[in-house]
Amino acid sequence: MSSDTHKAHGTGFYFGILLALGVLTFVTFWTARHMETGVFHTPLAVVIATVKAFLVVWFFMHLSDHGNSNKAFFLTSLFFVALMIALIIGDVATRLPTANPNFSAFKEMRGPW
Amino acid sequence: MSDASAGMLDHAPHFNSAAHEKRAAQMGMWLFLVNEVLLFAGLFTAFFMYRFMYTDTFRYLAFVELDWVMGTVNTGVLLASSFTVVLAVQAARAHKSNQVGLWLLATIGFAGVFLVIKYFEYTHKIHEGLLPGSYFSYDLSESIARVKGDPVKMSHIADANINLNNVGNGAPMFFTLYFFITGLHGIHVLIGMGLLGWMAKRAFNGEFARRNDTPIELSGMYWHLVDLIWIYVYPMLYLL
Amino acid sequence: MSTHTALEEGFPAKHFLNQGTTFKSWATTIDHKRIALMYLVTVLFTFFLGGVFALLLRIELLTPGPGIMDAQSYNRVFSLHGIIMVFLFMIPAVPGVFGNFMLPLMIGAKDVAFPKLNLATYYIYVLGALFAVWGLWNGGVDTGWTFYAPYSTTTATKVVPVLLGAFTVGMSSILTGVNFMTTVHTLRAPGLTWGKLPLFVWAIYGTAAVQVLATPVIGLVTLLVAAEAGFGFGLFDPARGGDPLLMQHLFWFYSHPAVYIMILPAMGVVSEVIATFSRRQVFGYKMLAGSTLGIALVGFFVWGHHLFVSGQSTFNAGVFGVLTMLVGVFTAIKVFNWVLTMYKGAIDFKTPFLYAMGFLYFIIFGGMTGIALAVVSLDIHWHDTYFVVAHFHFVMVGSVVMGFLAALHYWFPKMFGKMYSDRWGLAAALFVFIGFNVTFIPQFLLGNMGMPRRYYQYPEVFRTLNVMSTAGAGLLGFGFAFILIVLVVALIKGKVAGPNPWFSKGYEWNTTSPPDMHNFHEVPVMVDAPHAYEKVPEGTLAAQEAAKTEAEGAHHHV
Repeated sequence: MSSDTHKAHGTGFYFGILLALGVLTFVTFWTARHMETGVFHTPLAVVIATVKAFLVVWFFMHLSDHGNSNKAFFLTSLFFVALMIALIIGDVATRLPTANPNFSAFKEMRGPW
Repeated sequence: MSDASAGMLDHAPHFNSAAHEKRAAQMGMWLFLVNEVLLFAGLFTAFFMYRFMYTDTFRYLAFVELDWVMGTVNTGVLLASSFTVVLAVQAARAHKSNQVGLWLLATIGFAGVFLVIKYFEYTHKIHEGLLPGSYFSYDLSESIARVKGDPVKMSHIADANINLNNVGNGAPMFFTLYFFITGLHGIHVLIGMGLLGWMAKRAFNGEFARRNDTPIELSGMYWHLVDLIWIYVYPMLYLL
Repeated sequence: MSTHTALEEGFPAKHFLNQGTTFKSWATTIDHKRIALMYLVTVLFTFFLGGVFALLLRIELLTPGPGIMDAQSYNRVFSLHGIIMVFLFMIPAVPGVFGNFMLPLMIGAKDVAFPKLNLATYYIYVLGALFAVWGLWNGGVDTGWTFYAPYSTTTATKVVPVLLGAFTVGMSSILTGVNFMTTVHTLRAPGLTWGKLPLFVWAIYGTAAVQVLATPVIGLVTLLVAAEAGFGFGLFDPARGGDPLLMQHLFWFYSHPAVYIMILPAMGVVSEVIATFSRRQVFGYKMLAGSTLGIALVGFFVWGHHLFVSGQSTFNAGVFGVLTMLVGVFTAIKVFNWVLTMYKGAIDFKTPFLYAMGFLYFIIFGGMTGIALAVVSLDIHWHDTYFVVAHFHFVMVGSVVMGFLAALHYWFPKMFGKMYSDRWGLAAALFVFIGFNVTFIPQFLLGNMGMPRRYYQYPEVFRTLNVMSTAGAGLLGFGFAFILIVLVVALIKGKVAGPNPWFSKGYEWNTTSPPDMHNFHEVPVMVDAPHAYEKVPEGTLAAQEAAKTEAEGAHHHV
């Protein structure tokens, strides 16, 4: 019996989530392509994707009733993704420019790419 | 407690109850999905790193050479497939085995649509020579000239602050990453289809009419992860 | 704890070793103890293989000029040595063997959470090992175990099968991690709260977390490098706009935490051994458990210290250098707590304890040189010299192998129900300890003098120290053979060990030696804290043992 501790969401509820995901897909498309968002261009897309991901994980994957350890695991994985991206991009961003393969002085030497 | 449950074999002997076993299975699946997230994280890092280096080229290619219609439709298809998987899990919890099978078939159908669209995208890219590394044989300067002659596209490019003079450097890298990311994701779609197909077969055999929804729930979680990855891949490749 | 009948002194008539003796009963077993023994046999074989290659390297370096091999063979042999030792021995060794065997016993479970998956991980590991060994046999690789691009993507040697082997072994490692983490979360016996977990369980838990979080990244790297080698997509090729440093970043995102996959279980073993043989409750249990998780976490922030001279940004190098020192903080916490556990303890100087002391020595020495290497300016001098080689051999070989041997000697009576000769065990341990030092201390000096690693020739000035190092390697090899003989003799005609020969308070000793097929005859209830040598509830078996220990201790003092 105890396995069914989840809240009984109906089909209508899940359809609502699906609609929300569809709307957010449209929002991310519209803000990325047809709006002046300046420096928020990329962060906004990441935030919207994360909201969508949350909806999928929390309701579709039922993480909301899968226990705190599972929630912690999933959050941890996101933390390490952020860590990896931040420290590696941080290297490229602060590196001596000549050490980067896109350094423009090499453009002619490399050909069409 | 072990004596009480010795007769009924609804769970493995090293667990106290079926619920206990299910809890462990869910946790194992979450941990496996954590590993999948980190697997894709490496590719995402590579993408962002090269996008940082070749910003204008990457954005130009996303705007001009990738088909946002196909990308968006595929996003919708995957979201819908996630929805049908949820309904399959719901049916499994209600012990309606046949319904489980039907919803899983619907999911596999959506996955098939996704792959067909992907197939058209791939063949188009291969035909145009928009390929990774040394296989790249597309004439970018011609593409740029074409865009310059199209005022609608030029206004989009101007709105997005893409400097056409910088476009060119790193173009093959974009397609290296495009094929790696969508390819690895596609492999996951295929694995997911196989898994769900197996589950559908078991469902039509009536296996989930008894109290046994764990396999459906776990396969469903795997399928949602495939969707989850795509939720990030879509803006990353097609929009930004 | 009313099952004293199960704990009859001596050798049980039925135990996990004699429940089915056919080949099939072993090959298809899902019993965690049998899988552990299968791991043991396999990793001993890979250790032997890697050791033979190490000896070949040392023989080549006996003379300054070309000796028994040419440059290309030397490149292949050191690559073989590294790949086998890292991927096939050290990563699966302690978790695969002792984690598998002891984790369910220590938490009072009948098995790990997913027994079939557990067997599958063993076979996946063997499959990966076969892949790798096949590639190594048919041409080998000359890239070193790090597979740095673009060399690894352009060399003519067999990188692809070896990379796929590493990928497959990695998969096995991930699934082991998933299995162990779930086991600790869901299968603890009644009464066993997180605050009572034995320290070895904490160590295995931290290790498993690192395995799950880091290993997929090396899986990706091996796939990318293999694809690069096969098709030339240019992902890491500067000539095509790629950045080789990306490969190094992703590689070390796994491979630095991987050294904690190796060292953390060894640290867990040492915590158990020191508590048992000091007859003292561990000092600072919370600090020891917390620093295990601390090392597991901080281990992810430090990978850039492998890239100090690779063209990484100086800013990043500085950040990584500082973060690296945090590992030293957590390791120091551990060392202080271990030492304070021994302080005023009734130390029983048995073979496992000597290995634990060896571990302490190697982790302090190896760790301190690691802190020195984390200083960017010093690293630029030492980078790619024998100083680095000696440093990581002190930590990875010295400490990890000491931890492995401590575990092997500590749990040998539990695993096989037989006791080895402590006198011969101590003698063998001394050979190994001295051998390590004679091998690697000269390498510190050589590195500081500027001898680069991965060359098969060297100037005449380095000769004396190289000869010393080779002599030490011979001693080391002899020591390992010695240990093997002592243990094999014990297996054949060792004394019966009994359920708890060390009078340990560890939960795993609450069953027969060797354990029953189902570990315990009754679900154990954990009342005492682990390693509780001072507060023992009266009337329990533990109390009887404590009295016995006391009597023995008094006897020794007289």
